[in-house]
Amino acid sequence: MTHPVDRLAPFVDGALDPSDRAVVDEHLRSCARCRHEVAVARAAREALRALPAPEAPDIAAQFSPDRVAELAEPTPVARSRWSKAAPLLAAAAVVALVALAIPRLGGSSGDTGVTAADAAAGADGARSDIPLRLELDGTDYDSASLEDAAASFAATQTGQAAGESADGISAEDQGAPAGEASAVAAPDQLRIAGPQRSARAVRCLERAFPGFPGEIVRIGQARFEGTPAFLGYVIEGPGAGTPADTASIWVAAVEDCSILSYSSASL
Amino acid sequence: MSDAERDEDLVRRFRAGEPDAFTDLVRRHQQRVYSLCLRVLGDADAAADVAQDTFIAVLRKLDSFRGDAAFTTWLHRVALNACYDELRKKRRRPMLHIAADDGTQREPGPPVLDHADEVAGTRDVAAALATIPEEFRVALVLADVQDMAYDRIAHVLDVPIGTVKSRVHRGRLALAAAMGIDLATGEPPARSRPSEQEP
Repeated sequence: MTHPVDRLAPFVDGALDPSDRAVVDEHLRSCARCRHEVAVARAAREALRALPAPEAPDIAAQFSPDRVAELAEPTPVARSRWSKAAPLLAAAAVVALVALAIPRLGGSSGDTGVTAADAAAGADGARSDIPLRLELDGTDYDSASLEDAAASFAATQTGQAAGESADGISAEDQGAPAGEASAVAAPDQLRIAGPQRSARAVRCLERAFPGFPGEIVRIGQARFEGTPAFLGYVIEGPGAGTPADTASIWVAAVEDCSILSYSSASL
Repeated sequence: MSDAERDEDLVRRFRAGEPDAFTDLVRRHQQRVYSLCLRVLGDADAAADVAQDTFIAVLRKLDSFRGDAAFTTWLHRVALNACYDELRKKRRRPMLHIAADDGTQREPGPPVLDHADEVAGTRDVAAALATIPEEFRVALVLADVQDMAYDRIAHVLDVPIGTVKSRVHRGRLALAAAMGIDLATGEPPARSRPSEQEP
């Protein structure tokens, strides 16, 4: 028996049109399970709608016209976020371009999507201040494997902290250290997308996680529970010049840039 | 002028350089945004902070609001993103154990309830709501607290309308289970029936 699950909520609301309501009524006559669900859902709906309206604080008092004018000054979060990372990212761009010149990632340039034109476009493209390159891997993550990936990413960042670089996008960092579990594909399996697609991934992640703190240091494309997804590898700190203390992975749907998931690990 | 037209007018005036138009926008929507944050987060203090953060984000992103959707739809989306951010922080925030005078550790207290939830009976509903899965809770709050139509919820969440209806239904069942409503009868639990509390 097929249960009309997506019609039961509007049925309980009394919002079905007469023909759909007749279909549900007919189903309920022969389905004890749906009858019970309707009764229970109705009770929950009534309880929820009986909640008194909360007393909101006077938030508008914090937004006087003077304060609004001050807050509206052009200090976009994203721009300040990237400007802080600019020196590291500029250094990373040099590393990335050198890495691209060396055919060490396996496969032809057609397989990897890496071409000289891409490299040039990466230097001159719309987001040339963000030379992140989209790493393509075939992993289909779920919540548990995403947690593992965040832990691996954190471990990689911790390893970097012990060295000199903290940018997270040098060629050496594109694979897991030998003998260490990682959900990120090893270099010989890794494919890199072109700069336009990479820039689109960054825009998509920023749209899905607007104003979220942290710096995206690496981007990937994989799947999350079957849905094509962009992954943003982010390091976060409490700010004010203190070191980063958290590594996280943002997951956004490729199709509509909605949030699919998030996982983090302490550094 | 309809509510939507009034919002559009305030947005237009703010863009034209009238900061008090934004103050009016906050005043018009602070109740809905706070209510959304409170029911999604289950904590009055956090809800007040996140509601304020929402309007700061709105102020800074208003240039990117193209008017394809109603302002309230876009506003709900910004507010929910701020809520997700807070929930994410809460998940990774270590539990704070407070040392009692005798040196023993005790668990931190429950979330701070809104004053309105101190009324007997409603506290159970609000507390139960805070325990159900986030995906269901958000859909339920939009439908049954914010009284938003399913097609608008679909816009806010960027999911198909059928998914919204399914989440709302499943959310109601989850809430009922968390409240202890009898799954066989649909009746609330005996302990919350006033008649049985009388001598």
